[in-house]
Amino acid sequence: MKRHPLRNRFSFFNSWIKSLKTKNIQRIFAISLTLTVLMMFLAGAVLYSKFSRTAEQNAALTTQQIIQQVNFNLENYFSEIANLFDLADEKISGSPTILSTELAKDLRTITATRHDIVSLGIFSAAGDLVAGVPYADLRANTHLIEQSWFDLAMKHPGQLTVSAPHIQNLFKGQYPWVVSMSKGVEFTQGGQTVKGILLIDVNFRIIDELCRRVSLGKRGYVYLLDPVGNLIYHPQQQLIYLNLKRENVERALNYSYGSFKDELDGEPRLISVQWVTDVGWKIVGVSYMDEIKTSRKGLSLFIVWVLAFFAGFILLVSFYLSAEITKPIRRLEKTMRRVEKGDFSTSMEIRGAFEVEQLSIRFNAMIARIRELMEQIIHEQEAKRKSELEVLQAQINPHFLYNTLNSVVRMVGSGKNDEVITTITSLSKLFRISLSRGKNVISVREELEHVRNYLIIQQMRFKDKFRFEIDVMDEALSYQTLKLILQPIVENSLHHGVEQMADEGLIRITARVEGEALLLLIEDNGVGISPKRLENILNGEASSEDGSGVGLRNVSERIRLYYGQPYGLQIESELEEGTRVSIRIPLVKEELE
Amino acid sequence: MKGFKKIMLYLTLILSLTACSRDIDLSQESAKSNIALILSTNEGDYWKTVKMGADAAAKEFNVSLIFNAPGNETDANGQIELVRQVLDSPIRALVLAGNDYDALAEVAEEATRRGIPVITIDSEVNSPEIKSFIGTDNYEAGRKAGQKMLEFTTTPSPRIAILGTKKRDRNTVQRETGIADLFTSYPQVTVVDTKYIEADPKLIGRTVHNWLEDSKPIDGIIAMNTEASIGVAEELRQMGLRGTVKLVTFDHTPEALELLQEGTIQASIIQNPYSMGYLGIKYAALAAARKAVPLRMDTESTTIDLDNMFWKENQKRLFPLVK
Repeated sequence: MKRHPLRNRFSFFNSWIKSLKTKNIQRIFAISLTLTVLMMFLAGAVLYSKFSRTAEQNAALTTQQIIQQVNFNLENYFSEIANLFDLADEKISGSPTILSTELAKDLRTITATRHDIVSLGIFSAAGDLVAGVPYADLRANTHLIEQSWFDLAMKHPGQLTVSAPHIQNLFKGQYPWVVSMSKGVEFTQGGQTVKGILLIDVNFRIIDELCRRVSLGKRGYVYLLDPVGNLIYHPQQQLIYLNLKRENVERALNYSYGSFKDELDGEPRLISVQWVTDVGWKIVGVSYMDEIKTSRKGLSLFIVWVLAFFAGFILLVSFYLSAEITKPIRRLEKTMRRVEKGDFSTSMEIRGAFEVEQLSIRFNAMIARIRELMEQIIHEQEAKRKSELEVLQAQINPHFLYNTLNSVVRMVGSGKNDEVITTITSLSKLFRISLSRGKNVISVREELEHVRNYLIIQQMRFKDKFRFEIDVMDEALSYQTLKLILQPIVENSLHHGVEQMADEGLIRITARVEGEALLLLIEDNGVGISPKRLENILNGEASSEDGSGVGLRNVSERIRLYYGQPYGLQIESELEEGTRVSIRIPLVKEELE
Repeated sequence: MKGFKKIMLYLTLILSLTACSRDIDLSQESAKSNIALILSTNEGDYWKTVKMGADAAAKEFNVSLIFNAPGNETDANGQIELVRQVLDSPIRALVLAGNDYDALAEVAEEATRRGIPVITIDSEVNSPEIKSFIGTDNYEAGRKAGQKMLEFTTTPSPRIAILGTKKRDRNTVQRETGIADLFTSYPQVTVVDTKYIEADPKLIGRTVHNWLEDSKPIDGIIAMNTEASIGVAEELRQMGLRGTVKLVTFDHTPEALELLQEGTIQASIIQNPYSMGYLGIKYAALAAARKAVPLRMDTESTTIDLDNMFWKENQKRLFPLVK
């Protein structure tokens, strides 16, 4: 059969919905699981927001620290150069003449201490080169006195001027990028003290490399500004001059220390500024927010991954657990269903969780008990049927009838008409009651009447061998009793008790209400029963050859089956004294028809 | 049940292993895409500046450069070979400064067939498949040189000579056309001679000497590339005609700038190699990402003379390398 896959899936969905409505263990698990996972993700979100905020703060702090480091390096660098400058200044002003070879040697030594000193020059106020290390020819068209280092040193001769990096065009042979440091000096020339300017050019490469090496993230960078906002160093300086790039220097210029957020060409950036003391430059660090965010994205990815891992783990564990729990319960259910169908031979496997184990044990015990009860019922039903059959047999006892009819014949032969009449009448009454329209239960009155007729017939047969008394409480007469329970016992008393006596026997039948029970007593003064025999009778082991005990047991069983515990039959006997059988049955009022 | 337990165990193991191996890297290192940069030569400040611009763009756009160049900028076959080699490596785009207008067309088209966009810089390549050309408008540069020459010559009917060293070079030819076109609108100007000779200082010296020894001496020379400029300037200096005979050149080297400062060269039309490198890589990155790029981009030429050569912006442009 071909089924449409979509429909198939649909029916699966339907059954899934249905399964949601029924409250099974797995569903409870699923709900608690969902809650757990949700809580986990909530915790993840909280952690993420906390972490990302910290990450941003850390980024600002790191940038600030890196710039601080650059600042230290720069300040250190310039202070070293300044020391050299002071030393040269000292030598120059202390020298007797500017053109002494001594001074030239000293200056050479000073410049030789550092590779990054490009040149040292002493200029007159008119801009002529007086002395220099290394001494090279000046180029034409230098516009020397217009250059900032010269101009500023002339205006503020006592102050060390540090220029922005520029191409030094003074000396022939090269065009180096330098930072010019200059200051007004006084030297002796031709016996006169002259004012001039000392210039030391420092190769810019050291600073350039220092700044180039700094990287703030992947794309972040550092740039330098002079006090008026000109770019001293910028990794994209050329692009900026070519108008391919821009830089927001205005805001950075307002800061001397600190961080702020900025946006350039739509890109948010974190700007940190620090001031290089002495030189007056500003170091500006630029880091891109999206890189900080990228690390944040990485963090979120990490968190999601960890959460997904644990969620998956919990999922698996709880699937396993719920399966562990529900499986034995399912098994129990299946077994119960088999029992329900009538198969009592099954039993549960005792395995699984402790609770399930206990449940299995209880279940098995219950099944065993049911099985036992069923067997008992079957047994009892069989016994009942058997005893009823025996009653039927007792109703028409051919032996008794034969004996009675025999004695009637004898009575007729001797012409005892009255006795015949009595006997036949009693026999007729006896049979009427014993049949009693097939009813099992008759009134006490009828039962007593039945036994009286029996005794009358027996008295006719045995003449004056015994006498009997029937003593009844009037109240007892209208209660009900199983029929034919007295006659077998009386028969026993006659045959086994009274018949073998030399003297006249006595049989007394009493019926009375005692508490909540009806008590029927059959007493005789016969030979009695030995204790051993009595025990056998009660255990049902008495031989049935002589018939003794069979009647007793039958009565006892019938009462027990019909009325149940604690009713029944009790025998007390003493040899040569007599026997007393008491029957105790519940009080049941006669039904009025 | 037992099988289930086993599966559980394995799953847990696998999950924890993968989790451990993954969680360390928070930096999200994404694989950079490669862009090939093949220049005319790796000699000289001009090409070093192109490379600097390219490096700046590579850093900005997060790409890695595969750089190569033949030893000589007239070596077209060597360059074709280098392009072929680089096409076999995993590259997303090719930036090419072709050494020959026609010869490199074939490899450029081969690259396009392989899905690699080609951007040309400095010199054009004769192919319709080129995504973008970034370079100097040499015709315009030629006009600027002519204009500058007119500024410096003081005689009423100036006599001008033009000298080049690379006759087959398309850029040089365009410059020449630009100069010639400009002078047609100035009838008083006479173009005495236009010569292409080998880049040999002696030959150049002799040519210049001949022009100056003529009965009607020339007033100015336009040298159309670096080699010609240096040769002419040397000869003028030797003849003691520094500043007398005006010299307008193209491009710049430290040597030429020295000559400019001392007044042998009056002006130079300089190109923008940094921009070429920068924009070349930028457009290559865009083209690799299948984004539109302009078909032509003019990196403007600038006129440099003694007055403006030490301006702040020009310092960085003339001396791009901090040595």
